[in-house]
Amino acid sequence: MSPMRAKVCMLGTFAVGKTSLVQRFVKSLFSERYQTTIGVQIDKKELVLDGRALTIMLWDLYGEDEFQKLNESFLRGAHGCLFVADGTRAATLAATLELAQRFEAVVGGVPRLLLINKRDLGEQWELGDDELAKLAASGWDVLLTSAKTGANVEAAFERLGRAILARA
Amino acid sequence: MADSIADALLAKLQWAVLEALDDGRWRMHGAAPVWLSARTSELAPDDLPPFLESFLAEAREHWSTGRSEPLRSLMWREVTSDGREWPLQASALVLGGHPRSERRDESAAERRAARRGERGDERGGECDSERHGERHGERQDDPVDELPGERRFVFVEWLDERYAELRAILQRARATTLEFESLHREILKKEVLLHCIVHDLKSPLAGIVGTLSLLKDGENDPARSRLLELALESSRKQEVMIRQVLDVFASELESIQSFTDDPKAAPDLVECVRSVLQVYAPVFQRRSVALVCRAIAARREPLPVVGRADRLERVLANLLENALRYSSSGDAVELEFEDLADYVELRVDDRGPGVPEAIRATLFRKFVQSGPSRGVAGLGLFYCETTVEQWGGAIAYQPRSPRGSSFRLRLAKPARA
Ligand SMILES: Nc1nc2c(ncn2[C@@H]2O[C@H](COP(=O)(O)OP(=O)(O)OP(=O)(O)O)[C@@H](O)[C@H]2O)c(=O)[nH]1
Ligand SMILES: [Mg+2]
Repeated sequence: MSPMRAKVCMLGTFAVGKTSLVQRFVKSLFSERYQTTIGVQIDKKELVLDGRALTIMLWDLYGEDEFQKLNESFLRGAHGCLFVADGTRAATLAATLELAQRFEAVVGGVPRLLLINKRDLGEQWELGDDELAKLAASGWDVLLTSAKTGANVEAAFERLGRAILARA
Repeated sequence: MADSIADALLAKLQWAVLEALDDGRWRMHGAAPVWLSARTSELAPDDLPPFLESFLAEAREHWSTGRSEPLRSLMWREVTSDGREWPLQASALVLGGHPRSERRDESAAERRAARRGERGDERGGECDSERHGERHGERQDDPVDELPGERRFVFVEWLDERYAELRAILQRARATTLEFESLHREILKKEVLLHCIVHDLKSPLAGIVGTLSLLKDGENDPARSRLLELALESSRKQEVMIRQVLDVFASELESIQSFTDDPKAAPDLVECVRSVLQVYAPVFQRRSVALVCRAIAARREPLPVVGRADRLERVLANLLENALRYSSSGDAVELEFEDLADYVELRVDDRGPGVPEAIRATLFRKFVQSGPSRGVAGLGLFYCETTVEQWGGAIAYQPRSPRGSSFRLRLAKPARA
């Protein structure tokens, strides 16, 4: 039986670390250099979770800002989504949550996680436990990640993968 | 002839031209570009790279809703086995057909001519005719031959330098935005620091004013010279602080981070507390608030902690000021400590109204983030927390029963040399 193929979108405003998380997960690489994504970059990763094979097609979409707006049609057919915010830039959380609403309107009800990235930058961290508690209370499954150290990166993709398989 | 030019052009430009077939497959016109490994000219969507596959589905959906305006894809990249990246963008176009209203105006002759032209395009060209030969039977069913002129294509362009240019501009714009944001945050931080400093500068003044008032009240007080000494002491403290502020600005925020956990140089908590008490005892006395410090009074030997004496004194002064602000005449404020294995816990307890439940969670947060300013008290606590945390310590709030606040300061002991 061929493995299930799942389209997973990486969504969040620019420079939150979407590409870095994918690169860490797929290639175990990290670079401090910021190279903004234009359009989309698709990477593939094959997972075996609890004995079941899953091929994840990771859609690393460009971060939305005033220069590039997200075209919702590219979200269609997604089996899951990782929303990414930058813990050192509190404003990125609101922007990501707004994207999440738009995602929900196009692809409702698929598994999703919220990653608050750059956890390694403790000094500059701007999100308090109260904010995180609020997110959890409103139904978000939140993980604090670091593409730099790799903390929680694999865990995040695998958790999403399991949720996708559970629905399949 | 025209077709071989078209094919040569497509090959040169590294474009792919895919025509939608009715059976859900796609016919590739011309040779496959380098970035697309295709073994046949008629392709099922999943023979194609994932992004293209999804765009082709989107194009069909677009057409199925009766729309004929062009649809453009996101830019994406394919990577060939030699590691080369190919920035690409696809467009879905309907050719040959016209919106009904226009078509009505068009003369039949023109339409026929247009159709002839397109068919011509398809024939000729070596590999194309070969393909047509193979697939002749199917060609009869090709709706293209039946429908009046409308054919559906997806063109994939290789973007080459255009992509590099766009990328450079966007990269620049985003990097600039990030820089701006981080400068903005830096400014906010400095603002908070400035407020803290002003607050701290005010503290010794309370000591001076308190002492001078006591002096004025008891003109022939035998303790006169002692009180004068205290006032002088506070003035000197303030002078020192002002000098420190100038230092801070001179050396940016650097000096804030400097502290020691070298046991020989570590500040003595007992001495720091005593020195702060000297300043604040008269102020408390004047407000008729008792200041109870049993453990400090009883302590004979020094108690070194990680930190810096001057800043530790400011942290203590902040906490005492806070306690005094919320105390009423006749209340008692306790300043006690406990010497534990790895750290010292110091607490400042008052019998004031306590911190309202609603702001407890954000009590030590930067006021810039917790909404409306809580004024000097909030800044003082923010200062206390950031300072103590830099030393590996902590500060916490606990309500007291039946009323009052308890601030607990945990200070690390220096590693034994
Ligand atoms: N310290 C630290 N830096 C990170 C982390 N993740 C990403 N970065 C840095 O943040 C910057 C942006 O990372 P990207 O992965 O390019 O961000 P993106 O979300 O893909 O950005 P766009 O493609 O522009 O939307 C880069 O300089 C990364 O090195 C992290 O976990 N820790
Ligand atoms: Mg990116």
